Amino acid sequence: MISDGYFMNISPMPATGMGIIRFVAQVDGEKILEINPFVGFSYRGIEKCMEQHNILGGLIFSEKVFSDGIFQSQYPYVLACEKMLGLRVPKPIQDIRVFLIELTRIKVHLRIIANIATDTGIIVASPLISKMISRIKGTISKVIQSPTLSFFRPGGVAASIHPDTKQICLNLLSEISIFTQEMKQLIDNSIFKSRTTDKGILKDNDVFSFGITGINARASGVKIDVRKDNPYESYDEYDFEIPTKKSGDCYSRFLLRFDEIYQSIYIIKRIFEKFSGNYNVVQSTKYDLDELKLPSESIYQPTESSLGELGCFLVGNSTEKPYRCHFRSNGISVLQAINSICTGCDLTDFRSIVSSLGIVMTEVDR
Amino acid sequence: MSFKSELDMLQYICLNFSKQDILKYAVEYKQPFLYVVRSVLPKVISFIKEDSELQFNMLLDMTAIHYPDRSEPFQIRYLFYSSKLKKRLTIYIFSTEDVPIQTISNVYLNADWYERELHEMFGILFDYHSDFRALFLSDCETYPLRKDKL
Repeated sequence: MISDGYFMNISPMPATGMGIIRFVAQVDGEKILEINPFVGFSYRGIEKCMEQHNILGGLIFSEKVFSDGIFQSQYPYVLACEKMLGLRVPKPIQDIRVFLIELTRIKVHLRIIANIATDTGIIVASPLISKMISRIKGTISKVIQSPTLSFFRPGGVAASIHPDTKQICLNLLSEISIFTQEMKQLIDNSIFKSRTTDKGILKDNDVFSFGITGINARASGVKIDVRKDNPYESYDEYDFEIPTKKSGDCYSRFLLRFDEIYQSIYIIKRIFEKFSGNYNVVQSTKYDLDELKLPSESIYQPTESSLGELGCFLVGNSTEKPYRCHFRSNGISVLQAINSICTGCDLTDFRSIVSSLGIVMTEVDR
Repeated sequence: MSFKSELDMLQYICLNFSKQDILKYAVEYKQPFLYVVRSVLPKVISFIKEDSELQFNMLLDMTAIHYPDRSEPFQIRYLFYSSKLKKRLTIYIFSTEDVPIQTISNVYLNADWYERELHEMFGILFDYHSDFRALFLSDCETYPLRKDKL
């Protein structure tokens, strides 16, 4: 038994825009012996609310699941509705959606990189990255010419996009690729390496036993990506790669986020190579979503968000409202594995480990 | 041996169990699913995990649906992923309020919180589960996701 171990509250964390969670750690000196997460501080009952609204009303709630990446949060719900209702989405609209999803992926990865850098003591990176994130956000709202909220609709998108989208986005992408290289040089120094290498190792058998997907699994050498395993929309047309790392520590998760950003840039460039038509002709959705009825079937639609697999399970019963709606979040698996990740690590490394795992509490609590 | 389609995979699983154990199997929206008798669930789950052809070694999700008019009102859904086949498999079981379901948190560790959530939201009982503290809502007296508690 531990002779002088005591309990310690570590809360609220992760602080920077990722929701609230409370950790209770049993520590011996500076070593963590056991850590227990307590969740539910941002529980909003989204699943219950969605049962009481029609398809269009549920769209508003689906945005709140992962509030940092609104498009990624809507995406599984929109796709599930489309499959159930048999709505066909034209190819150009699919491309626009994929492009917006990948831009959001870059944004969320940059946010998490800023968090890792701040928690390891490199505070100069965070304001620079925030500036870039607001640049990306500004570009998105300029391109879609309408509010970001509920832009994705079952059957299409809410409005046609800017005629100069290609030029605006290629300029932004070249900025991002220069910016990410600069950030990598800035953050990736010997102090950062010593604070993240071999810290918070997620073993590959833990990935399987806890059902962890996404970047955390790929940093441990498990190649899981919904975009390749069961491709949705037009993802099977772009021959992108899935970067993986082997060690599964904080540093490899940090590097992998940069690799994913490069892949997202590649995908967006491929979209613009193929799609050279006039963007003005892209029409918004033509379906009257208030009158459509969901059939008495069930569907599970997985998508690859920046955090891991985000899926929507939808059950209909021949009415306008879904009978049951459930979101699969990756954070709930990661939080259960956090005890085996953090046991034996120092208290000073704990913050950077949690931010490298990319936990967003709104997604866990729902 | 690799399976040509999802239906082949389901038929392979069904071959290893008697006809009474598997209530139904089908592929809907390219997603394979099985309806299993509640008592054989541990057997089916250990088979799909251990079998060298299948290797469904990850539990991705667990949910329940409440149908208050049915004799067995709770439909519980397990979603598995095979890292070998790169495929998903859904297993459904039916349950009532008073009959506990055998936990799978000893096989798949993340089932722990999913089962806690289902107990909290629907009042479903799980056998041999060590921890039934509320996960999200600390002082809720009803089961919020049930259909009859509106």
